[in-house]
Amino acid sequence: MSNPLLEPIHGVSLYDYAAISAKMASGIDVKEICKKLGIEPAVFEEASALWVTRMQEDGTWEVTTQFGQYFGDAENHPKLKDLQPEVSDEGKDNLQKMTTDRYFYEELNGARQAAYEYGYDGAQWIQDNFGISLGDFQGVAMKWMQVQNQEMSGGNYENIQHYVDHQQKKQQEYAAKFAAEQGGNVADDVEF
Amino acid sequence: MPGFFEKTAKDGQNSEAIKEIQETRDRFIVFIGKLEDKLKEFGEASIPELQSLLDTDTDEFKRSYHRMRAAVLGQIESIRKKAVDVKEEKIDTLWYSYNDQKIPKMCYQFRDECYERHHQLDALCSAYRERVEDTGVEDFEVKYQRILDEHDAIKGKFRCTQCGSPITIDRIYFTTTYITCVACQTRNTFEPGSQARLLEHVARSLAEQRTKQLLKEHDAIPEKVHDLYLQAHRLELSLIHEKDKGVLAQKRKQIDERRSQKEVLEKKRPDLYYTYLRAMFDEWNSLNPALAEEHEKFYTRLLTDYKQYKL
Amino acid sequence: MSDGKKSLTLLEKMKQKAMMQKSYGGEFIEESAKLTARVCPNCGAGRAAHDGLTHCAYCSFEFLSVKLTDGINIKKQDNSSNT
Repeated sequence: MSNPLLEPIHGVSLYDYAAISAKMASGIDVKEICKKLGIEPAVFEEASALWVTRMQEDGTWEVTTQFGQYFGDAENHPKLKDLQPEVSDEGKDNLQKMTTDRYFYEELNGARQAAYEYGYDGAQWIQDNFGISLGDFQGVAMKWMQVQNQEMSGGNYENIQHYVDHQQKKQQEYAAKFAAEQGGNVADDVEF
Repeated sequence: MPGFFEKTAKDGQNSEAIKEIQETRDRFIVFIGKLEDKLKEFGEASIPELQSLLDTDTDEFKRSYHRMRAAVLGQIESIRKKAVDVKEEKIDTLWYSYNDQKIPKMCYQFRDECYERHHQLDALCSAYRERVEDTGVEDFEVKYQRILDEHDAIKGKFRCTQCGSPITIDRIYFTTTYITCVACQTRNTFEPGSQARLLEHVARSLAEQRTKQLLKEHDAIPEKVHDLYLQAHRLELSLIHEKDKGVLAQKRKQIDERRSQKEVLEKKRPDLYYTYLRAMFDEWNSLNPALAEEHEKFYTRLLTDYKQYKL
Repeated sequence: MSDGKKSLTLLEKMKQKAMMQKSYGGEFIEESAKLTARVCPNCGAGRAAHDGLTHCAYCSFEFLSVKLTDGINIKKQDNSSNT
């Protein structure tokens, strides 16, 4: 490994750390995770604090970028892949759809954004309405981010814009729904 | 622009256009005024509500407050968006459809007046947004004090799980750690309380809070520089019609003064940033010395970024 | 006047919504500091300082299956030698 910033901390590699973060965001108990990795919370907590400082130190963003990729690949982590949160069948279907259907992924992104703007905890709203945890959501987002980055470097801006437009359209649709629920927006009665 | 000065529109058409432009402008100005009233009323009412929710929210991360704040900002955004949508639909469309006719001056005036009014609303939205965000400014001295209080309460209360000898918690540990009993050498596991766990984060925010005046001095430079540039520029313009040699000389002197003041400020700016950054990291290190070595690496990185990107 | 009432009603609704909701990750629970010690599940000995943290000083049971590096409070020398 050429970059010393990517060396494991107390034997906790960047992949371990990213997968731990993803699993925790899916609601898995950190003690369970530590057990699977053969470490104790003391080791995990130091490694976790120090991985944050590695990201701060790294002016090339390599640590952060790799963290994102590993986070999206938590499902394949050799020691942690079996740790699965309880997910409803609907949640599983939605997660699968979000992974394969970019329109659906953009829709949920727009919905989550709109939810925040109407005073919902967006992460909880997605969990309640689509059965997808924050960890799983972010994991899929990382994957689509990589697709988008490839499109960007390939100059395929039209495609990127196409999906951005879709997300904005969906965000507006959800915003209209949330607005209706709260009895409208503050300036609804102001007409041109 | 072809056709701009050509006689493409009949007089009758022109007067109809003028009427439509005037009416649209008047309606738009009234419309923006109404949105402004709504914004002021909503903004003024929401700020004390947010403050009271912040004070009463018992959650450590003030999550109820943050949800409501996001919703208030969402409403401000809805007002801003409504204005943009109407501007695009009514003003821009009309301006595009008439600007090649015989009334260019009026068209420009129409557009400028509407844009200016719209800009005023936009600025007011930003001002309310800032005020709403400011309701959540936390005092990190208070948060840090809570960490110190928690530490004081627990530092002498533990005994070795193996032999019962006293174990002193000699510093604020923010992660779980092992503490050796001096009497029996057992490695006890110490798990910090909730407040101590926040130390690294609170320490950085408090260090930033304690040194923010230094950062403000640095951040204020571009505006001062721009101001001096404008002053010099205006003085230069005023030379054009000036005949009096005495006045000319005096004005040239003033221009030179502004320029040299501007230069001094521009040169001083990086040093102000270095002073701020060093002071901030010194504070951070003293609040959480356990990570001082790591902080220093972060410091070097920020310094490099500043020099490289001229932030 | 009626406009003022409308804003307040909307604000009240927003406030209620903000307060009634469940936060993602659940309620924050204030935990106080604790002191415990791990006992070797193999030989029953307490964790002793004299031979590192990763293995039991008496029977070599593996407490930690990683190699410790220089961290914040945990250091390289905390690796047990009896592995």
